[in-house]
Amino acid sequence: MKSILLCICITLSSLFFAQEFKFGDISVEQLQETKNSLDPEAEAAILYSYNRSYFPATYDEYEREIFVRIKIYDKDKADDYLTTIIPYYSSDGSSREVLSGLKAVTYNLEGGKVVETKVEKQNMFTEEKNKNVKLQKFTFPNVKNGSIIEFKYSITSPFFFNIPVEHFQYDIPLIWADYQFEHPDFLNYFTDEQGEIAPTARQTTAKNWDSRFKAEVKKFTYKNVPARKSEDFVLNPNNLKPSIRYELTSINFPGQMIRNFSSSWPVIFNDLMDSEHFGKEINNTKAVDEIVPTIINGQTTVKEKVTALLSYVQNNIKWNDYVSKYTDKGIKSALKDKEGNSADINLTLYSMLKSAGIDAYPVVLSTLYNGIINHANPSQMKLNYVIVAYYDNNELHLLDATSKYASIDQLPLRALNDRGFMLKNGAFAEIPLVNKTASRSVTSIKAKINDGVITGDYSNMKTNFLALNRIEDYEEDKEEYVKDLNDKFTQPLENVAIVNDNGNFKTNYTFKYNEDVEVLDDKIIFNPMMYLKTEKQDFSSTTRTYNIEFGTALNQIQKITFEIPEGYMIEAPLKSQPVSLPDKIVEYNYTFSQTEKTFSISTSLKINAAVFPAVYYDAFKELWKYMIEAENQFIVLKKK
Amino acid sequence: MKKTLLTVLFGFSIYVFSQNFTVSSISDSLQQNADAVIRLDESHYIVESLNKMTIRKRQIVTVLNKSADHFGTHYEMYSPTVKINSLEIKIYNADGKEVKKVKKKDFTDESAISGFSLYEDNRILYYEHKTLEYPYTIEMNSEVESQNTLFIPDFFGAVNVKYAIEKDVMIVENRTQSNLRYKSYRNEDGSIQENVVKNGNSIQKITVWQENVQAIEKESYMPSLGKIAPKYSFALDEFMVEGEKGTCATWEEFGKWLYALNKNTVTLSDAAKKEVHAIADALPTKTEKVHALYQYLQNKTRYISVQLGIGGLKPMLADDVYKLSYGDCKALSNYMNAILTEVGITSNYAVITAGNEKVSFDPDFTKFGGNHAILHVPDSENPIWLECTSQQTAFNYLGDFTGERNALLISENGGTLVQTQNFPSEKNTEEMQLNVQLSVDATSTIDVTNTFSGIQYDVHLSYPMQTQQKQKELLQKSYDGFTTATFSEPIFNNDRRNAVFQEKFTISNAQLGKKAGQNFIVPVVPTHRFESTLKPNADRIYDIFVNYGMKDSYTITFEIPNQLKLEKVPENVTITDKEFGSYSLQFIQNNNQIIVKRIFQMNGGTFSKKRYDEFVLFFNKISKADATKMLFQISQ
Repeated sequence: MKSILLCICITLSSLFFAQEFKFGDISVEQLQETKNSLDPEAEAAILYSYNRSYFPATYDEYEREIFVRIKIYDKDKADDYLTTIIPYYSSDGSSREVLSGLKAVTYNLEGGKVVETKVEKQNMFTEEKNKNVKLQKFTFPNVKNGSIIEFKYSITSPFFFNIPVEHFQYDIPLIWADYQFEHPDFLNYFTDEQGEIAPTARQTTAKNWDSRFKAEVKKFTYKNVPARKSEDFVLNPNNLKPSIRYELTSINFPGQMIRNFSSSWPVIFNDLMDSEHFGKEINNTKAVDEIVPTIINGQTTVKEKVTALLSYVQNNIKWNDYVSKYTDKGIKSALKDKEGNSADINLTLYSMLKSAGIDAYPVVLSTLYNGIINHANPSQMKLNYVIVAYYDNNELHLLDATSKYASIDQLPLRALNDRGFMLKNGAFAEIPLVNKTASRSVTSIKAKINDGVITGDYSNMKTNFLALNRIEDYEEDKEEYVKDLNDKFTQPLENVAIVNDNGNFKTNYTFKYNEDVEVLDDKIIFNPMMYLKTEKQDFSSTTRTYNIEFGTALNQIQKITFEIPEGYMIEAPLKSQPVSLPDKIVEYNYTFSQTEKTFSISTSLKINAAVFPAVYYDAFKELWKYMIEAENQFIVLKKK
Repeated sequence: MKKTLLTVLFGFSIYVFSQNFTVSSISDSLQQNADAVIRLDESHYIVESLNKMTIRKRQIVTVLNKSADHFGTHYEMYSPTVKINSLEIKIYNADGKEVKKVKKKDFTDESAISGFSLYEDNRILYYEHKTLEYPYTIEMNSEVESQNTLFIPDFFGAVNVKYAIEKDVMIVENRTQSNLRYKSYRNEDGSIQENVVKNGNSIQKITVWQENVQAIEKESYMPSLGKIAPKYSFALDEFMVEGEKGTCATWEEFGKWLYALNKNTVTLSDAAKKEVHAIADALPTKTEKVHALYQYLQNKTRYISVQLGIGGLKPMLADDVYKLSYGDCKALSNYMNAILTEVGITSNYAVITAGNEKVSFDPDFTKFGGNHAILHVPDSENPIWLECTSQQTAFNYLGDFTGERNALLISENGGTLVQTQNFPSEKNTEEMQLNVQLSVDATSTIDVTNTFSGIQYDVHLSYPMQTQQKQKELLQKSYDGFTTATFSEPIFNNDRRNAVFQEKFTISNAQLGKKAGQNFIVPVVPTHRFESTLKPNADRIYDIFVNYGMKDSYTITFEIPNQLKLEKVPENVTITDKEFGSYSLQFIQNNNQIIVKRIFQMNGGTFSKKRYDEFVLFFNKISKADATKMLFQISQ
């Protein structure tokens, strides 16, 4: 098998621009293979994936050729790969994509020969998903263990501003992928190459596009990319996968004015400010001028005014779950319809702050799901969200009103992605978008134990980011929230009081707890950490190459105090010992203390950054191990 | 004349104003427990001819809070044989003032393909009202015209979780010669009212309705709402569906019609026949043949669903299944039927309502139903049942997906209702053996062998299909209590002949027990403990319902290291209830071994709500016994 691949390589190496393998060129040996050599456990493997985008004739549309070949080792486990769904943009308007040349075949070995079963036309379905999107769907026939399936098609697309992202890592091994992009040299693109695994080959060459122009040809090859494993403490797993995307920066057609798009950050800035759905929208505060004075009536400080305006937008425009940096309805309609996308909402808020005379600026960014922006590659496509910044006493604060319950400087996870671009003084100013203020969670429990049942008063306050998630859950359905809380206990809670106090989330209740409390003859044995103990090693991978992402810096403090029951004494104190990572970026502390009538456990976990380089992984593992050890100690109370 | 006109106008205006959309007009009792109040839900089915049914709906719902947001989404389905004539939504604020109007063209048009299907020809028009303001009232008016008269939905009454009803009405009007039938269920107290208009013996129009129905709270172990709510069912003796005319006056006739529909789909090509004979001909018995051919089907095919027009009812050609090696439940059952026919074995295609909830067809009221097809092979004693869509499940095994209910068998002679397999409690077993090498540090080793059968056969059936990493994760989740331990790669044995599933693996570096000073406390049931969180309820409304019973037997052998001395062997426990089941926990001490035998049988069925507190006590006692610990002293 290997030698054959090698053989093909050598013979085809002269034809650099051709795909490495031909559709339908399947060998008996490939079909005989029962296990993947790279990953014997794999249920399937992508033997070859070919993706070539090019401009066949004109430069107002390009064609994307796709060809994929998959080996099936265990058909019952490989169900996900046996059906193909190809989405494409197909509206009634003139700008639409056209799919053509679809061919799909299953290959089997029968009596020592390669036998093919085609997907017939009547078994290919075009689903009109909605007015913009069509789905081409088909499933492979006659699939057995050992089958090879392959399909190819072309999509002609007018959307050459953005050549969509292609990933080169899957849940099954990828043996070989060729990615190629050819564009006439008067169209300038930048390469957005991401991920942890580099291509095995990368090459740029030139060829004639037509009689006048040259075409630039960029080619990437990825080989033997193992199946992707899921890892904890990764906020967007796509950031790990190797991927390539192209975005148009400028059109430089001879004899015409150069047209710049994503060529530089200033160009992107100007485009935004010129846009009907951004700059034009915010430069006209007429839609809000009338209502702002009423909203801030009686508020004197900047903070009070901002709080009032933020709350007004949160309570009057519902987010429709669409993210965009451009308004959809515009400020006026969003206020009227009480609904809008992220830009409708946050640009309304921005306009209101301006109208109220506050020193405010829009901040555009790429959402967490959308991925990280590489600063060296100015990208207008990648910016897909907008929030609001303002200064109060020279101090910068951030606002996002899409989250109904977020307070000042409380950003939802989607907006916390590396950095944002603030539109200030005619240019972008970069600002970090990480939860730099540590979220706090402070818990206190005062408990006593009687007949094997612990009764305790629990009190907790969460701040910032930690609070926001809870507040959203709680406000969504208060009854359900309290019910869920109750379900964690076998006895009903009493004195439940939950308060959303200006972005701080406070919980108080009285509980009864008897799990794992042992009453034996003259001893009572239990873990005073009760349901607050850390049990699971969250850092269980053997290697780690990607950053460790927590979403926020945090500081968690817990203090549990028990009354020692009458007639009992502590048999032996629990071990307390602090532990910290180098540079004190993470600290953990478990302290046991006792008086005549009480004993207490205090724990504190301080994670002083939201993101850590991968090299810290083993240190975290150690620290967690210590934490689990400390928090799983049992106290023995003995009759005097 | 003028006066009449005035009354008409006046009357009309009263009608308009009587439609009071203000929230304040809802009675307090209806708002209790409710997230939404259905002010009016009126659906009017007019059978104009066998191939034309017009459905007019009017629904007015006051959404009281965010939890009832789903009432803010309205949709109508359409397809080549169902078209939407009109559709409109109006939104009113709390004061009953109209704030928004949504026309048909403002609805979103999308394909409506069920999650399990590759393709269907159904589409949907929907509108989702997004708002921050509660309460609000949404009114929807629609008219849909269908060429299908096979199916008229049931009218369910009375029991609703989280929403109350002011008025709920359904009208079925028959303008054809086809006989309209109806039947009421569980409506002895008349909570659903009816009004029937007849012409001679035939029903022209039937109206059923209910008023002022309060929302209820859910209870643990309560029967499903479909089992306790009163309802009305409707059916036409003659109908049309996707251009095909049929009759369903009796199950026999309806079966005949389905049989005729399938008839020309069962032919196999010579190549297909050859493969079948090569497998079956040499085998001596009928059971052997059916078993071997079922395995052939499982290995060859997979489940792919495509539902187009009459294809929603009629299977695709058996020979196409042979060529493509895939199909839906109808196609695969029909193909299996063709295979068996080829080797001279009679089998019957069977329509059934699949799902965890056991739903049977009513022998006394024939109406279209079911959502799945399986195959029935008559045999001298017990019939063989084949689930044809699964590649993993056992031969002649139905499980909780299609067990303990009836199925409609289709044959030349028509349809007959036959009971499927039963799963008695004592046969739904989990037999778990744990061999524990106990250690004071977090280094205990536990060899696990667990065997499932009966209704429990398929609880872990999907595990072998996962990656090894995922398998370990699933086991770690299932065998609770070993969060920090290491799980070995499991060995699964799926005995598909006898419906017995076994898993074997070793848990190492387990922290089993608590060390506190010189004390070491070990749970006698280290995992799969029964934990009850039920609380007594004197105001229990519904009977107790346990869908399937089960019998779990655990044998746990502890090898005790020398440094540990057991202070006292825990006492044996026996708990029995004549209805609910039985429990026993026994300890045997043997040199340095302690053997724990624990058997818990829980019976399936419905038990009187009067016994609820005893039921809770039964559970809590078992829960407590399962939490028994052994106290060892550690010697230096």
